[in-house]
Amino acid sequence: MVFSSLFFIFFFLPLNLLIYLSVKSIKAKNRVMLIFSLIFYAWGEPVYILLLVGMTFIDWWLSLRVSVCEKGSKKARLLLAGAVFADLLLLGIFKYGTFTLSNLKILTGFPQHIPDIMLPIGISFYTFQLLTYCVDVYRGAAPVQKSFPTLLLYVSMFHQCIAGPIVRYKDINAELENRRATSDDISAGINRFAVGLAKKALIANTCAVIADRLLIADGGDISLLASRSVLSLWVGVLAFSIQIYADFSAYSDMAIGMGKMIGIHYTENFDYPYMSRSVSEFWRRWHMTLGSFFRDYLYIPLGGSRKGLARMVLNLFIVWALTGLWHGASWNFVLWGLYFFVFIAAEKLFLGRALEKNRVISHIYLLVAVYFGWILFKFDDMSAIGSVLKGMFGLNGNPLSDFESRTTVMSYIVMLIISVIACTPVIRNISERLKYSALNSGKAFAVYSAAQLVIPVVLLVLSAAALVGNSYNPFLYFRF
Amino acid sequence: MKESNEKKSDVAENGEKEILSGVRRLRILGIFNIRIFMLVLFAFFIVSLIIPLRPSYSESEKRELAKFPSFSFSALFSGDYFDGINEWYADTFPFREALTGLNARVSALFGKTDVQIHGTVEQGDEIPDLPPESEDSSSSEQTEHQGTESGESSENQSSESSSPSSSEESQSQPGSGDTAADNSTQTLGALLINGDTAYEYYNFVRSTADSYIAAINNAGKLLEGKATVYDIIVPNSMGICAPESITSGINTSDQKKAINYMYSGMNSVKTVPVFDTLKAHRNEYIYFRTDHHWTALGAYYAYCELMKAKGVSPSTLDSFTVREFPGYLGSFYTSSGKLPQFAANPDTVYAYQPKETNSIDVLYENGVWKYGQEIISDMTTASQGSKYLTFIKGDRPLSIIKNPALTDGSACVVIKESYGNAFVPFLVSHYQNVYIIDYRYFSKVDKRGLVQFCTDTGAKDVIFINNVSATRSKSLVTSIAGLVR
Repeated sequence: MVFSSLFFIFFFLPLNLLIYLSVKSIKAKNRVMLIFSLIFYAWGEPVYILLLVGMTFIDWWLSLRVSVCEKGSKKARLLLAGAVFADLLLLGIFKYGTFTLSNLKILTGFPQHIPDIMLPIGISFYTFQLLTYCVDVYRGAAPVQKSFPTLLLYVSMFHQCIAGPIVRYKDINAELENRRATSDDISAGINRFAVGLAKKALIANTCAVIADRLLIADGGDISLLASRSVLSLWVGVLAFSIQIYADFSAYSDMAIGMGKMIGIHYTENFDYPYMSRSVSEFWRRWHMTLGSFFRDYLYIPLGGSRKGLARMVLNLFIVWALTGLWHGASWNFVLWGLYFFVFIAAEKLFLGRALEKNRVISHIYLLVAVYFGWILFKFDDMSAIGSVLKGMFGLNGNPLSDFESRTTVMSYIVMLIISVIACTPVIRNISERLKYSALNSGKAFAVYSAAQLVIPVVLLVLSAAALVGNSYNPFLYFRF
Repeated sequence: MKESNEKKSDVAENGEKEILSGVRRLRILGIFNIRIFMLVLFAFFIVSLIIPLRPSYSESEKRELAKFPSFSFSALFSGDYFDGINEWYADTFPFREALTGLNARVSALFGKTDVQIHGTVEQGDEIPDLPPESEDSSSSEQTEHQGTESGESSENQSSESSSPSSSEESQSQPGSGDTAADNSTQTLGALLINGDTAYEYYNFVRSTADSYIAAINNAGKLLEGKATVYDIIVPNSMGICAPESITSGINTSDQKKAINYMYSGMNSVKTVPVFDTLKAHRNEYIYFRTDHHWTALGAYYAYCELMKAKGVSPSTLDSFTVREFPGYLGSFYTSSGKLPQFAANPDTVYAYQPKETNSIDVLYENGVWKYGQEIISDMTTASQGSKYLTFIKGDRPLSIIKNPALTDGSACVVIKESYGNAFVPFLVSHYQNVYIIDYRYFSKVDKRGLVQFCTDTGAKDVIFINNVSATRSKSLVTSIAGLVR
């Protein structure tokens, strides 16, 4: 089930809220959330839900045993290693099995037959959540969870199980066992949810249409790329850049919003990343929970920057290759990760200081770096990447613009401008300014209340209208 | 709301009562915000549960909406069952038409330019200047197609079953469900929209064009000495009507060149050039603006060219009874997302009814003959999207028009897709029997090949009339080739 399906918005979610509010004790509320979460997951993966439950069980059991060992003892280390190994092995098999074997076959000719393993939805996300639990229990940073259903609720919670944010157990364990949603929470949650829904249904889906039309649709004939005009490619990649931000951050918005509705505060996942002024900053503001996962559970344990320059560069290389690979079992994602490694290593070594000198130049630098990065991300075919890059600089022998690209750009120019604005904090700042004035000005309060009461509902109805004729619109990050 | 709490403490220190009441005011506002949103959310929830409100057919999209999936364990374990429920829930959402209309109106606010493009424009193959290779290669092509025929037809059937056609239903209610099957075999290409007029892109596909040539040549050879085969390839409005200011430099293949290429490869049949004639009449109402078909007037000019090729003088238009059905919004309207500029200025379907007879016998896809149907049906009260179905009851596997004024035993066979529907009525005065085969559906109800069919009916003229888009569709050309035996 996806958040942007009408079935979810108008059936699953209202039903969930209704039953959730009708039971009183926290135990019963958690039971309701667990049942809904398991149904939610099984709706997309009727079989692989066993994998989710099984992995959680292994980690729950091993962590229970870790918690009774002496801290830092050899036995605790062994048990943790077992849990981490089990998690990574299963992730490896289900996400990277086919990829590994087909590369092995290219190198050695073996094996003859490559099984086609379906990627279980959200496995990359929930495996990482489980890892934070095991490691934090081992480190003593999180209390052990004695109740298996509660741990399973943490892992499977339908708000964030399949596409993030990658919430750490220690950040929400208290709220799992005791929480209260204030009216401020619920109201903020509703607004956040409505904004996220509109971001997906109105902005991301429209930018997807623009990108598909100017580049190629998913599964389209990649030879078409060689015939695209210069304008077509530049604006197409721009539209994709907005699409992926709007799409992914919309999912996090909806997750965080639904969490607030029931009094759970998930970790923020995006902080207007396109406003950054260096690649390092971008990755602190883009998919923040993934970046911080790799920082806290890989980069720092590897020694971070404390073991000398060469070791730091090696650590960065490992982290960024894996960050790329996390996004998908394909070489273009590894390339994409290493592309950022080059920028981040350079920034750590010398570029960072230079960038601090001029805000405008550093911002342009970041946008250009990320913009070209998305080309590596979008196409998993190297020849497609080559032909887009060549075409952008007019090297495919196509005109600067042609009728189709001019027409498409002109038709969507208003929507593109709105979408660019949506990538900046402008609207949030206006709304906060207004809210602050509303504290002591009657006029501002009137405007603010009209906006508060009308906008979420209007966004909900417009999104529904957009989704009715367009039932198939999965989130991009479902592939990861 | 964290910051409002911070503010609260700040403010409390200052002791400003006014702001404190502001905070309270905001909190009350939040409660109303929750109530209104939940009210709307639960209103949708409840309405969506009222099953009778759910539509089962989309008038504007001309298709059956998704059905609730039937349960099976394999579908359950593969996830298809749940996917089916999602699809059913969304596809048949109550007030679907109103919601999609709202969406179209809102999108139009943001995309207000006169010229737009819908769909992905594909690159056509280069059209060769030389005629295609001779006999040998085309006949080998032919055998190859016959070899794949059975596989293709099963493919057609499976695509059929996903959008069940409703022949019985359409009997009582002309139009509903009729083109659903059409959509499954011939999808529209990208559209160019200029104001209130749309044009369909055409991209030449060389391999399919060559298969088409081979199939038509094969018909000519098989029927040599038995019947004369005519081939008419009809350009679409992009090739004829789109203004040069727009078509110059756009990514659509040259239709005249493509048709000439295909004609030049046909050496055993009589080809009927209609491109230049239609072009000469481009300022008349020969193509719809909101639909991919030509009008009956366009078909009339093509008919005149056919008669010229036959050496017979054509009937004049005033020998027909003119029928007029205003308010038509066709496939371009639907597939472009119901643009308001189309709705504001719909097409009118004009039909020319033969004076000799208005009676046609129709074989439906379920194998049932219905006798004494109308060649031109009254579409005054039919839905706005179905008025093209006035012609010969839409796309049916086989139909026969018997002209009571002739007793000479003359007969022709027209092999067509929907472009042929507007064309057929003009032939009535020239033959005692006009047999109309829609090659897409014929094989489902009648196993005869074309040669056998001509022998059985005594037809001396075989007229292939295909629109240029059909000649780039592999599945359609394969169906044509499958009939030619």
